[in-house]
Amino acid sequence: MRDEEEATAALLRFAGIRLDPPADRTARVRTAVRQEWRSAGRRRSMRRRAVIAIASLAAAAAFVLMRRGNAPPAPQSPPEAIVATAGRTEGAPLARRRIDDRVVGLRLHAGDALRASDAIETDATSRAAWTTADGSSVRLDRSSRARLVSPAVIELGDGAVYIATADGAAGFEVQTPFGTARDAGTRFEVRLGGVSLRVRVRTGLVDVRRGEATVRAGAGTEATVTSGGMATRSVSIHGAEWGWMATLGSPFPIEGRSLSAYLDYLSAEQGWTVRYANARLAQAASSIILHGSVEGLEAEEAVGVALRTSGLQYRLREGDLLVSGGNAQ
Amino acid sequence: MSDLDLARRVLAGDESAFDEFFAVYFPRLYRFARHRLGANDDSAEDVVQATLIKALDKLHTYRGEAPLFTWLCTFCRREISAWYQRARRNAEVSLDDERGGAGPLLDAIALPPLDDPAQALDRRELSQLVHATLDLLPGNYSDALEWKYIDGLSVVEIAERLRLSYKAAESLLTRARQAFREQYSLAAGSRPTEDG
Repeated sequence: MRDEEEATAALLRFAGIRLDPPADRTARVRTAVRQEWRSAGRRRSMRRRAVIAIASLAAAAAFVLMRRGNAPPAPQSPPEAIVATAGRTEGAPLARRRIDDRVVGLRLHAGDALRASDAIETDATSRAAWTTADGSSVRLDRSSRARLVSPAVIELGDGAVYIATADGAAGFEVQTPFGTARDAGTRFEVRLGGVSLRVRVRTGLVDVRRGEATVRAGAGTEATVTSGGMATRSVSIHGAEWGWMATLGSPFPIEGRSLSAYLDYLSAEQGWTVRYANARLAQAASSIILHGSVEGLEAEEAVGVALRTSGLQYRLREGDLLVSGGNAQ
Repeated sequence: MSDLDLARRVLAGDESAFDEFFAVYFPRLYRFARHRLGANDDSAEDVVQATLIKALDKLHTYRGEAPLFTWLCTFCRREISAWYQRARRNAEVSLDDERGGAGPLLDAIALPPLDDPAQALDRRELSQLVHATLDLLPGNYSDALEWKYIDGLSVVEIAERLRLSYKAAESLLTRARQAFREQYSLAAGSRPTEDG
């Protein structure tokens, strides 16, 4: 590296990365500014129309006959329906959006509104998540591409997506060239290979359909679809292969939250089965209030901190979290 | 797309242009304001929101004679001043800096020599200076510099992210380094050296 490059590199490394404003503040300001900008646009448009109307009247007075050669402007299409809101991102994912006759690529940020027909793209260094109108969480892995068809339907063109439907959601459908995966309240991953589709179900049930054939996959099942047919096998619902989607989940600030709520969150995000040594302990967990922060810790470390500071003991083995002992018992 | 083109598209009601405008300038203005408001996030949020609303209302007066960020900063300074007036601490912000270009953006930051930054300033001030310098560069320049020298991405990876050829990415990095050094030197009140 040359001297000038070395000096610049050293300076940049010394300063570190520029921090973006917090996502919640960004979303609030974007919403407020956009609303004001749209209102101002409407006011300008009304003023322009008023000027045009006055000009037309003046022209009518000057010319008895008006030429009608120009066709009236086509009615403006209503904006595409907003079907989701962007959540956490890694790297620089893109939202490709059709505007008039062009498709433009927009850098995706937390809080961005996503519209029907938007295509979300990630490269080898980026990931993206969004929340649909019914509260379901959709997380797109690296090197993936998905088009939003409606709030509860996406087309996966490449890569992998993880779906965690919200309580009470009507279901979610992932369409792919090799078949369709449709759930009725569950958490599952859909991954496209070169010549196959793989669906892994963490909780609930998913129907995997190819043509007229359907396979129902339950929790802990992997369904694989190839041109030769469909097959299922058992898989673990926790562990490293599920790790990528946890990085895109909404954070869970523990301050002021109950221990049981935090363990429920970990169970959903990590695929752990949470068990209490006895009923009294299970009841006590909902009245234990956590304080402080476990931000930045891996889930395995964080749960240890939360339980030990609550005076409890635990054992985490193969995705099974057993809570026991301590003063709360 | 030039700053003026972007401004025109925003004025025409183009939603994607608004998204781009907000994505590019909100973080920069936020850092700009936050630094001048004692690192107060609540105040920075209020000030930048007011700045953007007022600037968008006056966007038809933007002629492209100065970079759009510099133009936006004039609005931001007024909002910061108004904030301090409301807080009866008006003396803390000076609006009479008449230096052109980057000068007003980099005020209140002491300037270290480029080749030995650690000894000249504490980390926080130096970081602010470097970040303010990056904020003044075109977005693809500052992104490329951070990706290359902080995130450690290769030229190939940067080319992929920017959808450029390898050669084009390499060339962009060279221009970005040059622009960074020029802007940094300008802030320091000195000329860039012959070798960059």
